[in-house]
Amino acid sequence: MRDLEIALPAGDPRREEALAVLQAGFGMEARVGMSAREFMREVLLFTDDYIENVISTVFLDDKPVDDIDRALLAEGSRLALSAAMPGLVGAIMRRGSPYASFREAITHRGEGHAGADSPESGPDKEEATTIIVTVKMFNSVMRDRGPGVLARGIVLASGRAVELCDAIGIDTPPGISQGLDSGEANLLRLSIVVSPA
Amino acid sequence: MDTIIRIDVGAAKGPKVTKEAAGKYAGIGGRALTSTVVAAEVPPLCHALGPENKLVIAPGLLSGTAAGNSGRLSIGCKSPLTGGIKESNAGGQAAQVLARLGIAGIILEGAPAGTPCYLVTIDKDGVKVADDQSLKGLGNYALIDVLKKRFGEKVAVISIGQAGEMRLPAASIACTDMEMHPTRHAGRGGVGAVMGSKGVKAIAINDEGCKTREPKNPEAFKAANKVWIEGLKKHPVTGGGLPSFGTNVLSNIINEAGGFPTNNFKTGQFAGVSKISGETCAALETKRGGLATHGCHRGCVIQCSGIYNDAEGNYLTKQPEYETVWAHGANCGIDDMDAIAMLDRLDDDIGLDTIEMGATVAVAMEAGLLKFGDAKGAIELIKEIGKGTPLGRLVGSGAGAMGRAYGIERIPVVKNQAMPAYDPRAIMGIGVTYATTPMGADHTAGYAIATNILKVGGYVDPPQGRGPDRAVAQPPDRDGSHRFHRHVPLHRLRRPRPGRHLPGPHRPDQRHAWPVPHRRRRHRPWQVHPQDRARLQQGCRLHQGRRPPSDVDEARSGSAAQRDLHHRGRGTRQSVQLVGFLIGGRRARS
Repeated sequence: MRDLEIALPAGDPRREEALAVLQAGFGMEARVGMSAREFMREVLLFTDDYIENVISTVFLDDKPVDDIDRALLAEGSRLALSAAMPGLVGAIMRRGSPYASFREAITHRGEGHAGADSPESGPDKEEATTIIVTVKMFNSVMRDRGPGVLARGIVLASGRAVELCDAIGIDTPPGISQGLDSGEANLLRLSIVVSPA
Repeated sequence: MDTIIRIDVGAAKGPKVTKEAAGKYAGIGGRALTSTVVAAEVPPLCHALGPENKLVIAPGLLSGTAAGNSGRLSIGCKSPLTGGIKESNAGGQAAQVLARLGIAGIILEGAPAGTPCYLVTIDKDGVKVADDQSLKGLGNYALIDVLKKRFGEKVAVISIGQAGEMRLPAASIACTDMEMHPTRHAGRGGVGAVMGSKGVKAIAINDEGCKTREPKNPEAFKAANKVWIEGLKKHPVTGGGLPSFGTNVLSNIINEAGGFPTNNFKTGQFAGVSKISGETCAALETKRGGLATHGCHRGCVIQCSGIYNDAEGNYLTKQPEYETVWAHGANCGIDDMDAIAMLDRLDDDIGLDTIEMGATVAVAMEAGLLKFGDAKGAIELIKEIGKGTPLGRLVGSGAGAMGRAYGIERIPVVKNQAMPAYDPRAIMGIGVTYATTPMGADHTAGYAIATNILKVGGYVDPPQGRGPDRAVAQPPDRDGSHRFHRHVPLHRLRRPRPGRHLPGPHRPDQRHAWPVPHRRRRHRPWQVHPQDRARLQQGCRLHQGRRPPSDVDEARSGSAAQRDLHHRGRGTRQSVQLVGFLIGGRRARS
């Protein structure tokens, strides 16, 4: 996987526009079998306080999660992170909501992927396996933590990286174009760094 | 705020205005007042557009005071859309202004002779009703421009557009916001048609010379109001998500849950959601010089609205709300934010319920009238209503009428009212509200919450198998689809005998998921009697449910749940205290 970096000057409004890619979904490397909490803590570098008090709505593979310690990641998992949402349905979707029974048919029950649950998958094996999960960051989570995540780098397919560059109005870095020209359906780790003022 | 104004538009010598004391209606306001008056004074079997129906307009009990977020206006009547009692409400300036004039409610009654176009003006000197034919046929925006020249920019206006004048069942009633744009609508149930049936085009209210209402115990009121406002500002929803991104902040997460009805409720997720989400909309508004955080009335603390400018930076409409973005967006397969904003503007101008319109356009798309995703076609279809063409009148009659006219089998309505933006197949609990409220598919009723959580009027523990979600959770059909039923009379629901399954199209792999396990025999869920099944299947049938019902989860609680419960309980108590300080100066029991 190639690394590419886009540097923006401080205060550049294009950084805000770049954040939009976070709500549509991006890739992050993770350890197979790690829980949603571990992922947020170790990969996204969220603090425990932020996880407990701000990340109140979590979806794993389109299912609302109540217990982020029992929600285990697998190759191709989709993890969506949101702050508390308004209205009755917003309240229903929150972690540990008293209204959780209203959506029990779709609640994530802590079932992990086959690899994590199978007896032959020990901790050593899981640690040795790196996977890519799709992450979505919404609303204030995107606004608060998005810049940091972008600066550390996200995994995107080359085509989407080009779309992102077009959307925020910057010249496509040569590295991306080279990938496309070669016809490779490859992934790259893109970081968007804002220079200090 | 102890006066009720009755305007009998059917009086022999023209509209008769009567001012009376609130009397038996004293001490209630808003939704409680409008619904109580309708229940007491409107014969249930009357024609919704006839002389016996009444349109009741009431501010909340705290409106006109310094209480934060006390600007909601309730409007009630018998609905021409559902045929039942209806309450619809709106923000904007009208509630505050009415309350400062001391008006607890306005009741429009009777039926006019001929086709008048009444302009009602209310100020501290009294109420006047005049027939002004020059206002006839105006859209809400053009109407407000006229009234602004006559009365200045400090009046609040309640009005109808062409849809209300045509008495179309999807017609709304508009209230002006702080900029005097007619953007806040009591949308649901065709309340605008009832106002049109009374021949009233607009009510202009001027509170010049009136003061903010004073509580009887100012110190206690002030202290309670401070706690209330601090609570709103501190809460992550009312102090964070809503002011930053508006109600449309919900789009992404409802979509994630598979509860974002797409292409006329065919699926529960929309591929283009990130193009129309609250996050995207807020960024666009800021970029174009609009506002992503803005209140719709004075004294709003939450400020969940905004100003949406077009690509040239000119005002187009207010920030489209979640329901509007869903209805005209995902439900019609449209991922163009500018097109959705234009549809919102047209709905506001013609005076239409955006939920009903989005659902109707989607049914029209299902019927082949236009294609899913055809934004231009959708805009033209809504414009037809303003022109009053036969097709426009059909569209303005709602999703049910459109579906029946084009022979569509699956129409997402309950009691003929379009379902809002939460798919009950994914969020079954919300289906309870749709199924049980007398107002049709209405996401704001939701009183199951009160008994489930707040213990108002009794207590039902959802995890114990008696929760309301059991009442509508039906097993899927053989093809994996789900059926949603309307008009389910409670007396036809029965409890199954323990261990026996009702005959029905269960999938074999879900035999153990429905009904509940035997050990819960004391709390067996309500189920539909087999004899009712065929009749019920004539109701709205939706297909392609994304998720089948699964095993009953264990009751869960935890610190987050306790905090949520605590916040809500405290908020309710605080509201009760505010009312207590206002009307009696005593601390209400908590």
